[in-house]
Amino acid sequence: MRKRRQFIVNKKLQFQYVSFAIVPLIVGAAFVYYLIYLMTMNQMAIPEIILYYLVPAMRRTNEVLMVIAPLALIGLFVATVLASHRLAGPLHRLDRELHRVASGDYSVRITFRKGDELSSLAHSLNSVLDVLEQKSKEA
Amino acid sequence: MMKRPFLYPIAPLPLLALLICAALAYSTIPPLEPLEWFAFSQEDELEDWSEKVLNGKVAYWIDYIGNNGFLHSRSIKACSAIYRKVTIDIDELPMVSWKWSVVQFPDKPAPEFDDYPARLYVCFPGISFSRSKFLEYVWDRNQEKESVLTGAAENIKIIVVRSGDCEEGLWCIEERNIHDDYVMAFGAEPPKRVRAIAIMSDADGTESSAEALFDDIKVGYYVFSQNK
Repeated sequence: MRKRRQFIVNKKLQFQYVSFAIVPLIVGAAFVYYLIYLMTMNQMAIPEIILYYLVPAMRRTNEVLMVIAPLALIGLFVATVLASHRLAGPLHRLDRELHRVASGDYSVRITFRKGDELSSLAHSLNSVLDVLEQKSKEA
Repeated sequence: MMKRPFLYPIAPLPLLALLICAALAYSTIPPLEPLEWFAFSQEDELEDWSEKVLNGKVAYWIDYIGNNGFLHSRSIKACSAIYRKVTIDIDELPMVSWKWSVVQFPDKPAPEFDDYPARLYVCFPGISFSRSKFLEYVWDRNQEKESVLTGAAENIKIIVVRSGDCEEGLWCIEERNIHDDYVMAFGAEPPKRVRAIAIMSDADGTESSAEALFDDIKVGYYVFSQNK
């Protein structure tokens, strides 16, 4: 099996996959961040205490996040694109091979890369193709 | 047989309507008693307050003169507050009043030092610190009475309600309209509800000592002579 060269084979599907993974994570992280800020602020209660302790701590946290967050996002994006490819790649390949079957070529066998999703589906389809090829030879 | 008057079945209706109107009118009269009244007469009364420490702990305890209990605070180079959550609709019940006395003022070489022997906070927490607003009623020896100062941030306004020594005796009594004070200090309409009040004595900035007494803090009532 050839090594992966193209990691984006189905833009729409993979974009959805990446969105489903990243957007809830960002929203959740932002919500937790705000919740901690709000609870801490309410707990400190007195304005001078908030101003001298919480506000500088939040400023420092924001400065660190300004550096870490973009790196984390890039890493997360790459990781989810790679993960999505393990699903989109086999689907793309399945689509291509089934077109060949539809045109009458029953010798096609579907093979996925090691670790790809849907391997059991490929195995079942290959069994079907075995039967189809056998029947076409008998006919 | 005597014939019943034609209006007999509906005769009680005007009376019923009158009773309903009276009940509605009564329900719209603001209560004369404050929603929150802290008399500091019980030893365990401070259990409902939480302490917030900024720079060293100030001693707060219930003290007595005869049978009269009050809150005593003593700060030695320290700054901490006691804080109590309340929910007061200041559109309806804008008044706050309290008794206080300063036993010892901090040694302030200049008015710039923000140590005050006695403060009463009225807190309007928001969705963030910058959206929260705080009114502080303070007693100071250096600032003029009724002067409005900006605290450590723009959203903290300090109103000097008492300047110098108390001339009325041991206790000085204050009564303020929170709504009007907020408008005067911030130049805008206040949030609908006060969410907390706090008391503080601090002398950490001047590294000196301060001592004050507080009693009968009443929050959330209405005075008919007031516009609000």
